[in-house]
Amino acid sequence: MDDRKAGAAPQADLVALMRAVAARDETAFKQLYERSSAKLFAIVRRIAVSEAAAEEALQEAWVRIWNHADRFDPALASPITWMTTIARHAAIDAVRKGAERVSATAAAIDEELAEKLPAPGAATDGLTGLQLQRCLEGLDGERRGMVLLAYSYGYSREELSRRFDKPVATVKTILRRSLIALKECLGGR
Amino acid sequence: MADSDEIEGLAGEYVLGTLDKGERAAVEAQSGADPALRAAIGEWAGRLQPLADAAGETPPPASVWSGILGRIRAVGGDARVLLLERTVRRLRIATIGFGALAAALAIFVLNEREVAPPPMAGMSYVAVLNGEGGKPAFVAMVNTDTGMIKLRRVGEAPPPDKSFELWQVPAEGPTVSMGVADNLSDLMPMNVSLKPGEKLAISVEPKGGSPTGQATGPVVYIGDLLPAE
Repeated sequence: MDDRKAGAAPQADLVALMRAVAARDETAFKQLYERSSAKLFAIVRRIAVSEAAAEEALQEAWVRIWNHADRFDPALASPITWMTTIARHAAIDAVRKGAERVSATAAAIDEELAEKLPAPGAATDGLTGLQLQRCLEGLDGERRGMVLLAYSYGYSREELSRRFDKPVATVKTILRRSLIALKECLGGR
Repeated sequence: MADSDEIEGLAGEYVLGTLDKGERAAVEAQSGADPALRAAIGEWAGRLQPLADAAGETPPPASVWSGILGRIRAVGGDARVLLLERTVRRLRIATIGFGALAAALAIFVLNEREVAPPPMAGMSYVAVLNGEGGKPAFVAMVNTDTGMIKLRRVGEAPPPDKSFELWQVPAEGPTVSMGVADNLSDLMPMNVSLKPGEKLAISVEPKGGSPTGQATGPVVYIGDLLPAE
């Protein structure tokens, strides 16, 4: 297994906090928030169109976490991963409700993509981060761009379609093929 | 069950965030009854997590926390709809075939703030109205204290030139109209008392409801009234 000495204890703490939150423990919820909100806010800010929208999405994410904590299953995902999925969906919902993203932002984003990949040691689990980075680098530029714009910036298929000048159905096909390639590269794990 | 490529594709795109609203709702509904899909979603979330971790940390302003507290403490729509969801989840434990429903209901927890539901204290019955093939189409929550029925559609809308109409179906005697149910969510007063063992049914009627006071079109969905607690 990966070396997780540094991360194992906090992880168990978070699982315990999640259980307490599922039992409607506000103190535990506050602790969970204090431990994880900076991370979730950073994630949400990349997707949201403005600072205000990011704050709104973060709030929505935490309400969803509170409401659905009883569904968290530590056998399926870590608490952070589960909360990340909720936060990203909350941010994506906010973006798709609002006005179309300004395309100038999209152009600037491409330049940043390389920097946004997890650097060694930047991820909570360095080994997993490196493997993913290696596998993303194995995709061609367009595929990698689509996956990153979708995951990190919340791009929809329609936005990707405009950005890459491809029909929506083609975008879907490319995304699915890229995912299969990533999974195979990661050894199906 | 979908084949494994389809499961992988749906789970991957679910995590990626590229499914549209309807597709995401369908995945969430399906995952309630499909452990393979749940597991695939968990795996994809784990695989891509390093990309999220790379965002780093940005402490949010303090006002966010107070906003969250205000929302989770409010006796608002969220809490009540959630209660219905949990009630249905409890029923699912006792009722085979409810798999996807609890998850499907989660969708309207997120989308339904505009409707003012009845107070939660007197909630007494729940009915799930299924059509052919057992697919849930409506969920009804009956509150005998306030005399209101909250009806939530989880299936298809009526055809454009038709209306759905809700009926009480007693063990004996004529059915009684409870009103037209064309909206995604309807709150309607109960003009009769309801008892466990009775049924609620939805028929397809001319636009605006049955002209005769009795169902004139086919009954498309029906379900038993079950004690909620």
